[in-house]
Amino acid sequence: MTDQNLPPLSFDQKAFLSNFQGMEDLAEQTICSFLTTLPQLVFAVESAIQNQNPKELELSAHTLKGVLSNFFAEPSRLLAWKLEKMGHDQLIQDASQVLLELSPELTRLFEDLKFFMNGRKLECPKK
Amino acid sequence: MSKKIILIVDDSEFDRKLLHGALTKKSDLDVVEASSGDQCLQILSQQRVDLVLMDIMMPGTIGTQVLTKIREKFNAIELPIIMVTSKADASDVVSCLQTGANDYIAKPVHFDVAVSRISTHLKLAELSQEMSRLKEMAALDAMVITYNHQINNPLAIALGCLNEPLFVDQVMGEKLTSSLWRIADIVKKITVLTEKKEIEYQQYLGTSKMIKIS
Repeated sequence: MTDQNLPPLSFDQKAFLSNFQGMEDLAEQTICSFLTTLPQLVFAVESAIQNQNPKELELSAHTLKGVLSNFFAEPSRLLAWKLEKMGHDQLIQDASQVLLELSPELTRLFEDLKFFMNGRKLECPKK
Repeated sequence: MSKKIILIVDDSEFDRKLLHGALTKKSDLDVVEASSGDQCLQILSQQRVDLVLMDIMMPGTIGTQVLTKIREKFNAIELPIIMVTSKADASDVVSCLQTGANDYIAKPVHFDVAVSRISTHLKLAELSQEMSRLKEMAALDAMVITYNHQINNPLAIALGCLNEPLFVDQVMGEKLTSSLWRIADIVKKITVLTEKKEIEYQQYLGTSKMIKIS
C-alpha cells in the first residue's frame, strides 16, 4: 500500500501500514471496528472519572491505551497512559483535565482514520 | 501433524479479534480466545493448547495470579506463555517472568515479531520434550543392557546343567533345552537392538509397554 497524501499526525500511518502489510482487509476491518468501538471506550473512562473510581479508571484507560497502540497513535496513547497511571496511583483528582486534553486528540484520530479510509475509497459496512 | 493451537487471553474484544485475525493470516496456527483468566483456565482444562498469549492486565485479575494457577498444572515446557504488555509495565513484566511466563511481547504488537516469537517458543517446547524422551530412552537402554548381562550368566549355567543325569528324561530335557535356548535367543536379540541405537521411542514402548522383538 502506498500513499501520496501527507501523513496525519494523530497516528503513524507508515507504521500502521507496515504492520498490516499483506493484510489490507484486516486493516480496514480494524479501522472500522475502532470507529464503532471508540465511543464505548471513551464512555468507560468518563464513567470511571465521574464515579471517582481509580480501579475502574485504571482498567478502562488501560484498555483504551491498548486499542490506540494498534494505530501507533502516540499522542492519544500517551494521554490514555497518563489516565491509567492516575488510576493505578489512586490520584484521580486531575483526571478530568487529562480527559479534556485527550478528547480532541481522539476526535482528530477519528477524523484522520476516516480520511484514510476515504482516500482509499473504502467504506465501513453499515449496520 | 495437527496444527498448533494458540490461546489468546484478553478482556478487550478489539485486541483479541485483531490478534486472532493477524495470527490466522500470517501463520498456520489455530487460534482460540478467552476474555478472562477464568475462561482461560476453563479452556485449558477442556482442550489441548500449545501456547498462551495473555494480556498482563484484565478486570479482576492480575496476570501473575492466572500464571500461578496455570503453572500448577502445566510447566513452562508443556505450555509456553507469552505475556502481552505495554511499554510502561516493566515491573509487571518482571513479576510475570518470575512467576513463570516464558516471554513477553510489547504493544503495539508487531505481528511479524509475534509470529516469530510464537514459532520460536513452540519449537523450543518441542525440542525440550524430545530431549526428555531421549533421556528416558538412554536410561531404558542402560537398564536393558544391565539386565541382559545379569541374565546371561545364570542362563549359561542353566544350559550347562542340561547335560547332568538329572535331566536325562527326554521329554523334560527337551522342554528345558527348548525354553532355555529360547531365552538365550531373546537375550541375543535384545542385545542387538540396544546396539543399534536407532530405535524410535515408539518401538521401545508403543502401546504395550514392551520392546518389540521380531
